[in-house]
Amino acid sequence: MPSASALVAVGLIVSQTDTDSTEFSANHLFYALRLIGALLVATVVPLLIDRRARRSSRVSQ
Amino acid sequence: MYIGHVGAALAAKRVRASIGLFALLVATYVPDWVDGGLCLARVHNPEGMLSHSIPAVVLFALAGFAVYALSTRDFTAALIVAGVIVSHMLLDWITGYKPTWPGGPMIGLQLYGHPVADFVVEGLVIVVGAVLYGRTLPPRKRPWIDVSIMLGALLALQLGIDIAHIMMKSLPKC
Repeated sequence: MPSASALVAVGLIVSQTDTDSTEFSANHLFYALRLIGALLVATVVPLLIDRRARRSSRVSQ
Repeated sequence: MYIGHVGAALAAKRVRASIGLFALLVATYVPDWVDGGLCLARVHNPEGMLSHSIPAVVLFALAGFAVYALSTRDFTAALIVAGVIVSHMLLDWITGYKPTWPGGPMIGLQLYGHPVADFVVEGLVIVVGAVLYGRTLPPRKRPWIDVSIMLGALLALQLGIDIAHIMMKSLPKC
C-alpha cells in the first residue's frame, strides 16, 4: 500500500513537471514570435513609407 | 522603448543621409533581435543581460561598426551605425528597466507600467526623429505629407503597443 501511494505521488510529480515544461516552452515560443513579429513590423513599416516618399518625390519633380 | 527606437534611426539618417534606412533600422533594434533569437533558441538571458547590458551592447556596437566599415569603407557612417546601436541601450534606460553589467544594478525609469507616460516619451522621440528625417527627403511641393505619414504610422504603432500592454499585463516573458 505505501508503495502504491509512492507510485501515485511520483506519477503526480512527473505529470506536473511535464505540464510545467510544456507551458514554459509554449510561453517561450509565444514571447519570441511576438517579439520577432513586432520587430519585423517596426522595421518594414518605416521602410515602406520611406520608399514611397522617395519614389513620389522623384515623380513629382 | 519600442517604436521610439525608430526615431533614433530616422534622426541618424539626417546626420548621414548616405546610410540606408534599412541598416539604421536593423542597428537600432540589434539588442531586441538578439533577445528574440536567444529566446527562440531557449538560451537563458537573465533580465536581458546577454542582450541589453552595457558590455553586450558595446560588443554589438563594435561588431556593427566593423561590419558596416568593412562593407562600405565609410568609417564615419560606421561610427554612426555603432552610435545607433548604443542609442538602444540609452533609450531603454528611460522607459525600461535594464541590466548594467553582471552583478551590477538594474537601471531605468520603468515607464512600461505607465503606458501614458511611455507613449508621451516615445512619441517625443518619434516626433524629433520624423522631423529630422523629413529634411533628408528630396524637395517637393508638400513635404509635410511624407513626414506626417511616417509620424502617423509610427505613433499608431506605438499606441497599439501601449494599449496591448494595458490589456495583456500578465503576458509571460522569456
